Amino acid sequence: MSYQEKKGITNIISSILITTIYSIVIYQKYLNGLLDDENIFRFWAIIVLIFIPISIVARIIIMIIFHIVESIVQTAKGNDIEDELSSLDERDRIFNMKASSTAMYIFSLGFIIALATQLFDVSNHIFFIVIMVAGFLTDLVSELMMIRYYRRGF
Amino acid sequence: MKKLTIGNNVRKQRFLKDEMTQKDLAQAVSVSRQTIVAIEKGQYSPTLELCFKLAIVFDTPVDQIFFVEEIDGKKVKD
Repeated sequence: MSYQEKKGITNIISSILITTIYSIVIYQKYLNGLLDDENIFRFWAIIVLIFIPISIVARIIIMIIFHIVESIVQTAKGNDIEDELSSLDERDRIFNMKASSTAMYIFSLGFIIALATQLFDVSNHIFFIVIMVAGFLTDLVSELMMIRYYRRGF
Repeated sequence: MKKLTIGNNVRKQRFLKDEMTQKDLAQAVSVSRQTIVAIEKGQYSPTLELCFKLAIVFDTPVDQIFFVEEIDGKKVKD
């Protein structure tokens, strides 16, 4: 398995882990049967604005741990870790671009579904929950596509 | 013409160039070693710019490195 594939899998696991833990905490703290329809925008703004820095810091920590473990494993195998950690080249950029393009379609679909929920008699919270789920799925699909491109080629 | 399969002689050209390693070639054309591996395996078709960089490093025309292997699934004769 290549470095990029391992990095993709680590990103997927960290994404699932961070989102799940944060969702459980938020659900227990705010949403557990106490959905308040007042100040919805303020409520979701707080949730998202707290999630972004937490997610970034957690991902950085996970990637540092990943790089340390990868360095130890590759050194033990006698491989040159510098080979793996080279900067982005044209292949990486093309794969990134293709994965981002697909991810954008998925998020757009999620946004349309979120808008469509407002046509029915459902809480406005559903709109934001659908947007959050779409964002999460977008991230997952993007990483999965990157792994697929690195594995099968293009 | 719907689909072209492009083959390459990168591995052979490396061998002819004083048995150049994948790492040295990668450094010479400013890409990662994995990209050279992917090109040699036929898993990645490089950009025209990278093709010319390879041609310059190997000091050979581009068509000596890259060639059409199949057109619409049919083998192309040499």
